[in-house]
Amino acid sequence: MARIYPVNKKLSLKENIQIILPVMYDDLMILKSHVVSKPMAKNTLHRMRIAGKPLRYAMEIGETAFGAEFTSCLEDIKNTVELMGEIHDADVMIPELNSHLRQIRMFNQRVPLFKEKITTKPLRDIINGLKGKRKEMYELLCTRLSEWERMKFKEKLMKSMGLTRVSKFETAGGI
Amino acid sequence: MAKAKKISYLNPAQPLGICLQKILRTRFNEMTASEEGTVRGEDIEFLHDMRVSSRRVQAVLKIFRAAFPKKLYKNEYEQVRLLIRSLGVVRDYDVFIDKMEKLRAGSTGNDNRAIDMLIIRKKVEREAKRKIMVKTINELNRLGYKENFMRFITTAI
Repeated sequence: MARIYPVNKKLSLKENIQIILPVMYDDLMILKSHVVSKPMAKNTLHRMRIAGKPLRYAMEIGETAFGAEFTSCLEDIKNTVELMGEIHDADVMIPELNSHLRQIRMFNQRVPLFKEKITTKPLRDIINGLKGKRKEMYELLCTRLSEWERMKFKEKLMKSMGLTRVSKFETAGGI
Repeated sequence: MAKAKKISYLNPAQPLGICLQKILRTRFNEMTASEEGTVRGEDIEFLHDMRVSSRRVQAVLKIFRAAFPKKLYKNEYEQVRLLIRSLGVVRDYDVFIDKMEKLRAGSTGNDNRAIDMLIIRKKVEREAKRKIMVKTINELNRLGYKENFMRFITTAI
């Protein structure tokens, strides 16, 4: 079911963005623990990337409304979504290459002469290289996502939009 | 990724509807500006730019969905989605082929036939998908998707 964001036509674009962005950020980060704990959960990582893209585009629109701190948050989101894109590309390429490798091996089995066989080494090297790069990128992604939580990225984002979080204590009639 | 064009005269303090008209008009024009190059197919960057712009249009429609009348929204959204899907299929091939060609260039082996065979196969598949994409764009143009979208922007918001 497609997500419907709490848009209010009576408010300005800026006010709507202030309402929507924290919700979009939560939609992205809800997948974080699964992504971080399961390195090969390709589908979840893909879903996280899909959640990150509209957040990035919404922030691009919001750039006109807010200052330098907001732009810095946008850069962080942009870089991280792009990193997820690179990991996704590797996740698409590795199975394709493995499948091609199997086909070449089948071909080689049927060819009687050694000189007619197709060497698979370059293909294997590429697959291993991609696997290694994917691992590095995944580790970098995990570090960034954990850093966001540790450095309270959501609060930084809200602050950059001129918002302050209302604590439970305050809403419960505290000071 | 192609950088989003600056939206002229966008004042975020203005009501949402006015801003959405400006944003969608700019993003949609950005998208259609790459259409000719995409159909011609000489440079893969046109397709990439068109896809990114169409994604931006889609994102605005999705995020602010509640601001549009349901039925009109559905019609417009479906056309944009159809376009995005056909562009996306070809773009996926472009990314794959481009990466493989770069890896091929960096390969130290003497016999790279295994890599070459894969690149050739992907190029053949891509060409077939590209024909479908061009057909989809032509069909959308026959249905007047640009005029419909501009009408949607001015009347629905």
